[in-house]
Amino acid sequence: MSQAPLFSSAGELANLVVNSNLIDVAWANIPEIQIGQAAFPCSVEPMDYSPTPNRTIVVFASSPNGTQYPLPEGGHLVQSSLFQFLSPNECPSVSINRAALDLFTSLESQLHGLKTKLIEREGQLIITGHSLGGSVAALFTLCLLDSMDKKSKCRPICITFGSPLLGDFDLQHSQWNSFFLHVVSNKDPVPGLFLPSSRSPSTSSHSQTSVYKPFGTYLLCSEHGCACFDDPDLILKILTVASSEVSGELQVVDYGEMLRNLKNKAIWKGPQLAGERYGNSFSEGIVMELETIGIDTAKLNIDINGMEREARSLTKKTKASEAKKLNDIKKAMANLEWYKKKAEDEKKSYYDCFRNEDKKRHVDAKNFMEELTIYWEDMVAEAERKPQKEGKSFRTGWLFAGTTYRRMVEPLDIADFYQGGDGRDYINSKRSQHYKLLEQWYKEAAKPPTREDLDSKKKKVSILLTEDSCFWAHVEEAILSCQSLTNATSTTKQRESSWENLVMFGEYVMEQIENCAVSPEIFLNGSTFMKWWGEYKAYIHNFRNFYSSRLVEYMKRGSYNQYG
Amino acid sequence: MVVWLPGNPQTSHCSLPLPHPRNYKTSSSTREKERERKMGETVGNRISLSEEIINRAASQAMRAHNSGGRPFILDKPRGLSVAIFAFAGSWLPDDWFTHPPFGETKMDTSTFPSLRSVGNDEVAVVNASFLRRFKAILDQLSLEKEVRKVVADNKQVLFTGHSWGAAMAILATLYFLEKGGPNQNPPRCITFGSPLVGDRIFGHAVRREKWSDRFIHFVMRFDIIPRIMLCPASIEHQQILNYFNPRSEFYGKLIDPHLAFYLKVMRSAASVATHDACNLMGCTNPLLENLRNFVDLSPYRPFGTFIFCTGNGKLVVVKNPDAALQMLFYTAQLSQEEAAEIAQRSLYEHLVYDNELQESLGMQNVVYLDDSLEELPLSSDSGPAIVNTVLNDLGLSTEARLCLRAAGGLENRRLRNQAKIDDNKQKIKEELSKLRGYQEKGETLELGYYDAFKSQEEKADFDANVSRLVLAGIWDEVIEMLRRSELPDEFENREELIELGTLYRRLVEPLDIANYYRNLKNEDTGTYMTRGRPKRYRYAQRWLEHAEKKPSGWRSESCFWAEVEELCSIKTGCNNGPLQDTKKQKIQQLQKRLIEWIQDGCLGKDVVLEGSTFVKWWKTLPSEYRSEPESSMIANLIHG
Repeated sequence: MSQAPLFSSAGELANLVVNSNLIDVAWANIPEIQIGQAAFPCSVEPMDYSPTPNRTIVVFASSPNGTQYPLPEGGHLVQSSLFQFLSPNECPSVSINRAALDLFTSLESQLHGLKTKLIEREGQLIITGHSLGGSVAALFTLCLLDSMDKKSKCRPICITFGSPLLGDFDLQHSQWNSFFLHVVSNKDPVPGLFLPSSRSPSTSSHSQTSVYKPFGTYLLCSEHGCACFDDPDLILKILTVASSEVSGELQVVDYGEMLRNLKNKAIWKGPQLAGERYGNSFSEGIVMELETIGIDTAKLNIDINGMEREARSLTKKTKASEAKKLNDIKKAMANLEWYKKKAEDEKKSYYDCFRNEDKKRHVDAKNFMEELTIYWEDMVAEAERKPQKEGKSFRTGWLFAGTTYRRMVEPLDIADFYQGGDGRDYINSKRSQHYKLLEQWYKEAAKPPTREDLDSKKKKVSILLTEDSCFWAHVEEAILSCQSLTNATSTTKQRESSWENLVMFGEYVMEQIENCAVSPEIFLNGSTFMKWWGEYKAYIHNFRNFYSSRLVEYMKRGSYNQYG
Repeated sequence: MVVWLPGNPQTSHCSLPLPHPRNYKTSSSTREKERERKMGETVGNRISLSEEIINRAASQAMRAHNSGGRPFILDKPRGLSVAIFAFAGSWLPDDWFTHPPFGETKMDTSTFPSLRSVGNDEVAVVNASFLRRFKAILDQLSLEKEVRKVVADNKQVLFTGHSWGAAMAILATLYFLEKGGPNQNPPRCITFGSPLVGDRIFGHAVRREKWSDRFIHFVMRFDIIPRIMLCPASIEHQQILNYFNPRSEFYGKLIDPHLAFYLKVMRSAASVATHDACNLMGCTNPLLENLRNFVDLSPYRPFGTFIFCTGNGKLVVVKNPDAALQMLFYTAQLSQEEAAEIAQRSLYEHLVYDNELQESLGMQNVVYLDDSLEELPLSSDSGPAIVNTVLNDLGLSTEARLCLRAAGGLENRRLRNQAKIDDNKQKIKEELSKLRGYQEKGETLELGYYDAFKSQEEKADFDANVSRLVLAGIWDEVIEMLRRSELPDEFENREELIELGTLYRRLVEPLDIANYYRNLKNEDTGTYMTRGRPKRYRYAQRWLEHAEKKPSGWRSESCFWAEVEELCSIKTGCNNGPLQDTKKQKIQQLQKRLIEWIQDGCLGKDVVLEGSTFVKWWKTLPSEYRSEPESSMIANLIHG
């Protein structure tokens, strides 16, 4: 089958943006406010308009001075706890441009009130600003996004004009990326100000500058046309070129004039190529788009083929293929359930079956386990890459399935670990990160159980999976503790701690039983748990005849026969 | 001012309110013409309507403007086997837009039952004024009467119209297509300078029903009216309509400022075209999604066969609806120098269809774009000369050509997706036959496969579960593609698919229900029907219902078990008045339908096996829940 044809829609998307009233509306209020704000060199003032009941516009105007010479010594990045929420779990800290952050912090109390007010509104919310004003607008939008929840009817978009780069975070894996549109003229030196090769004198000495990352979509404009890009690397490259080609003299770009010109361009007839150069639509398209915004691909050494590969890989992942994958995962789970069922038919728990035997069906089970693990590790990793709050809402959709997976599959990992007899302390030494996260998220999301929950659980405990996916690891450790107690070479201290562990284990198991949180399969004859009970009972009988606990009573009375 | 002379088709040419713009027609050399004629079929052959009929329709469409208050004129030309219904026009703003911005409404599905998507179950959108006025015409009854007469005469019914009349012709054609019997020759429709009438789903439904070929739309390259619906109702609209309206004081007068109206329409057309182009090109930028919150786009889209007239005697035929939309925008793009002239032409060209066609059809200089959309030359000098000449004549820039390529690419992608699904058919059939065996085995056990599956005791139950999941994977992929319009429009109207989907649904849905109630999901989430039913079964049920022209919900036999499970879970006996009453009703209805379904053969006999959940439950029902004759019939089924 031939490969699907590929296109670059950077120009079309840009024309859609330019044709809509959106940017005009955003820009319309900026110039007049700027004229009114001449007093301070670097001040920013939020203004809030509601031109129609359905639309709110917030403008961050910076003074003309601040626009022209925004940031003497302003390229520094500082870590900010205020924007910690931007960091995905996998990446510890976030740094923001100091000048933008200072301005933002100076307005914080005012902005807090504004934010609370805006979140309540319904409909379109356009947040905009020019130059440094745009930076503050973007920071404000980020805070707003973090405070919004799913119920919110406010639909924001942040549009900046000629704003410098803002920080070291990127939002490539976040839906938030869709809320930012940065309009940049190739005549404007400000957006590329903090980039290493920039010739701009005021920033040449900064060493930190290379860690700036763009986020959102850039609408890159020249007098000939415009194009939208959201690939951070490409944007960096283009900004670098643009800023190095702008003459050292800082000049103010009239974005209003530029937009008027682009708006006309978008409906005037475009040029015709004089001859085809690449023979495929993607390359012809993207080279044309880049040339429109003044980028010579040959000179810049831009890897068109690489871009094509990347674009193609993005189109591969479709909802349809995901639907298929999800069913494959269900199939693997069904196979493991069947494996469990087979074990039960033989009056064994599937944990013990997997731990103690080695037949073909274990090989099969292992394959399914691996398939599931790969899938869930990916899901967890994807959730981890998103900003914290978004990661949370992303995972709620599948946390239930993920929990079932964890309860089903982790016992098998544990069995694998203790099988050879050398395994010690699974939970701290071997437990995979994705299990830990799945468990942590489950605990965060779970509501405290009610009386009725427990009753209904009691009825169906026989078909439930053991809730604590590490239950068997605790059992294995308890057996090791028993062995250490009876082992002649153990020191007193070792024995003491082993005994302590066993006491705690007894309480833990009893609690699980009372909450109907363990599967009755643990009581099956010959199970690892019963094996532990045998050893433990013998030890108590021989050495601590006076000792009793609720679990000991429970087991001795044989109450477990009525469990489940 | 008299514009159209009434009642005389020979002199129906409009006397132009404007001086003729500079003569832009250039005739190609005879030799070239000869060569090109050999390359292509004639338009008439291609659309199976003779040039004579097309010309006749054009003149009738213009003539109908002066119908003297009648909604249409009927022409039965001697020697031709057609009867031409030409609809009158209207320039009243209310007849174009009921409300800003776009004057659209949901299609009236009692009159037009097919104009919706089947699985996705969305109703098409149509211009509210057009619909209202068309229904008023229907109410006068004369249209239906005349059409019946013509059909009785064995004549081909042909609806036509110019401008607003074209919209009426389109709705009339659809109306009679919906009503048409299987042996009846379906009506045809030729429009001239038609405004857009319906949305994407409207066109999708027409193509799905394989009616698309019945519609031929002629569009002059710069004609403003075919683009006007892409633009929200505005003062410019009013100006344009006034210009054409003989009763208006602005009739035929230059619109001032002379370019604004054209720019306004083109700006809106550009928004729609670029938005759709982003989709065609598979844009992955998430900004696009958010922009939809801020950009108000016209819902209207083209459908049917478009024939663009270049203005110098050539015709360009395109059926791909996405390509047609891109053409509507790009062929009318301005260049700075010609701007003022083009604005005038956009009005003038709306009135010259009959003349232009007479010439173009005589020349037969035709290019069919659909076959080569994906390979269109991008530069003005590459590719086949004949194609490139017309693309240049239409003023298509490289950007425009890329958009057209993308439109062709999407259609080909849909076809490839369909082929991929067809490749899975064998796999589906294999899994279904395994499950069929499972079902039969269940019958020998006096239990039925539903209950066997629910207990999940045997290896066979597990294997059935794996088959269920394999099939779910295949069908879910199909459904996702449908939801994203990633399959050809006709996909849901393929008999083979409907059959296979029905087989699948009847055999496998009980297993999904068993799985749902086995895991007691109803206790946490709700009933299967409200919360648990997978889309793949909803879609398959809708396909069958649509093919049988039955209302939604008619073919719910595959959900039999879900109803039984829900009824079982309501405790009998406790004297809870209203609940018991509805339960009683439901039980009696279920018994009735059960008998129907079993007699129809769409529900297996396994449900009435002695050991099945249903029979066990049914036997416990107190006598007041059973009514005759159903009760004894069911008893017979159980023991028969």
